[in-house]
Amino acid sequence: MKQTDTGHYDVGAGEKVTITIQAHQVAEDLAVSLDGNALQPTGQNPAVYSFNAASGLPAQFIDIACHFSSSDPDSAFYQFSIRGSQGGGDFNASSIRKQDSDWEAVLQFTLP
Amino acid sequence: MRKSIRIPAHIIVLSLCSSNVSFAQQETMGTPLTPPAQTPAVVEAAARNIAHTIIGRKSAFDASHDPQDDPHGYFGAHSDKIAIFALAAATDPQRAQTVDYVPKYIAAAETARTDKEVSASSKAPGTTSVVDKPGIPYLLGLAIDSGAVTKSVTNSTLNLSTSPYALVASVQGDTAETYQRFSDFTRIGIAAAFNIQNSQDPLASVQRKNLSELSVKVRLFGDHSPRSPSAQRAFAKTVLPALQTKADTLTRALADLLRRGEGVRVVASFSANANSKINDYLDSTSYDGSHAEQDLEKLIISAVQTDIYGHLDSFELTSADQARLSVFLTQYKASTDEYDEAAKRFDIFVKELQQKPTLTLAYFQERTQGSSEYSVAKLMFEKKPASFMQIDANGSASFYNRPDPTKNQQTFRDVTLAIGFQQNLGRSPFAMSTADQSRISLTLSGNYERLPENRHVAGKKADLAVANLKLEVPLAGGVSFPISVSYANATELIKESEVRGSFGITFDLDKLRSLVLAH
Repeated sequence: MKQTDTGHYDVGAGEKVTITIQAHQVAEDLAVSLDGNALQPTGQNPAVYSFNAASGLPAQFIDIACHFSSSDPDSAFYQFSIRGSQGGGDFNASSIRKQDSDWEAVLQFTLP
Repeated sequence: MRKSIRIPAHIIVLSLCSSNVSFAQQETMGTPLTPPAQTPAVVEAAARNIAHTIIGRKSAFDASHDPQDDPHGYFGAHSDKIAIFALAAATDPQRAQTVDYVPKYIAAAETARTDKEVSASSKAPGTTSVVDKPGIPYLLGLAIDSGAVTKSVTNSTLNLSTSPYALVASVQGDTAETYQRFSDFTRIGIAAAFNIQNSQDPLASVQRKNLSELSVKVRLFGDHSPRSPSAQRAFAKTVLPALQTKADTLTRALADLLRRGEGVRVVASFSANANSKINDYLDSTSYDGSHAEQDLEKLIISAVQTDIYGHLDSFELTSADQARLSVFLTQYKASTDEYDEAAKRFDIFVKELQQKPTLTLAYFQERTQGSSEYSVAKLMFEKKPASFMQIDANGSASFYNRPDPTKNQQTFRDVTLAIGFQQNLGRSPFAMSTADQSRISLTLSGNYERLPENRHVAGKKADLAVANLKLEVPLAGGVSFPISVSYANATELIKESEVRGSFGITFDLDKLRSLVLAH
């Protein structure tokens, strides 16, 4: 896996992509979607999501939609990291803070 | 006479897409999209939104250097969303005007951040309240924000508070994982109050000789926080379905439409170029925070014009694709509306949860100059009925650590019962700003104390009662005006009843700061 920027990654066909979402000062109040369908977590605390990059598709899209209740502290945030099974290491894939003006992030995984 | 009705092809496609009917569609090239004459409002809103976040992050990052605040690269995880909205707005400008780029609930959250009521500490010296509230440094609100220990200064007293959870979280991070493993530690709060000897350096007063009170509180009832299991069950039932639908709607549109033609490459190029320019701007020596948001907004809009609208042909959008973009706008609006409603319902649930009764067992060690040290065991109850006033009730017994027989002291010192009722009377008419939601409060409280050492002592009473009525009126900018009247049948020292009136001005620097930042 290669990171182009925090939202764009080059992956190999069939590569297993693992997204880890660490919730700070907030519960794991989030939903993750892949190409129009819900992606279920494979682990919790921290939340872990994974999928295999499909061959034959130029790109796949992940949306991480986070939620903060009005009672959560203003300093609450979610931190994302991404790892591919074909190497490249762990990538810091941005964060969503309660203080941000939008609480979702889109990640694009592209087959070169 | 026969009438024929012509239905445009894209409307047929739209209705079929809306009802999720699967069929073999003829993918024909539609009318080529042309760049909008004016930047669509939704694109402007998106650019403004992203610019605002990036500049907010830069301010935070410059101060904290925390990775979660880093503004560099933020755009990369938001470029695909603005790209799909730019395409949709070019396709169906009218419908695009009805869609919020960000749900109203999220937009409102920013306003609400400056509206939080920050109440003065009930432990402030000179307070007229006779009822203690069970406000453990109940983690989430107090200790964690500042790390392992929370510090506050009220008049001439320095208060330090912590909890076992705060200590763990300060090492391991206050993550969902930590909370799941150690949430029971939030039940315990520890606090110490010190008499300040040097107001220039309050922490220098942290010495045993200046210790005026040490307390340990244990919350006996369950977890009422937004991270509690009951809150999580409510989230899964209330918000999660709407949040999932919103996310699915967005990724379905991205997958269906950006994969067309050179769409993936164009959007990746748009993201990289804009990201690079944003980073250059943030790191430039000429960066000026006074107009940085406007500069970034223009930069992002310019990037959309150049890299998205300048390459519309590269997306090779068919008439069916253009209809899908319209459907996306409709579905996204529906999903954000649904999310807004669900999020509000969840907020109400959490607030009701937090207002459930709390019962706290507390231990205090009191050290007052000129009197013997004693320990207090106290049971504190607080209830906030939704449509009634807040009720606080305490019962306590105290014991001398080393009773002084010459002062008629025995190990058992006293027993005390107290009850208080607090009613909010609405927003203060003196609040200058809409961001200031401070409320007038009226508190009626009573306290009875049985002090055996006063028995059979001339000039003293063993049964002491105090009644108090207090009105607190917030003035502008974190300043409030408390006024109170109290009646006591006697004091610990003198067997004479007294009526005392007091008033003053209190300053809440945290609140003042939040109001300043709101502007």
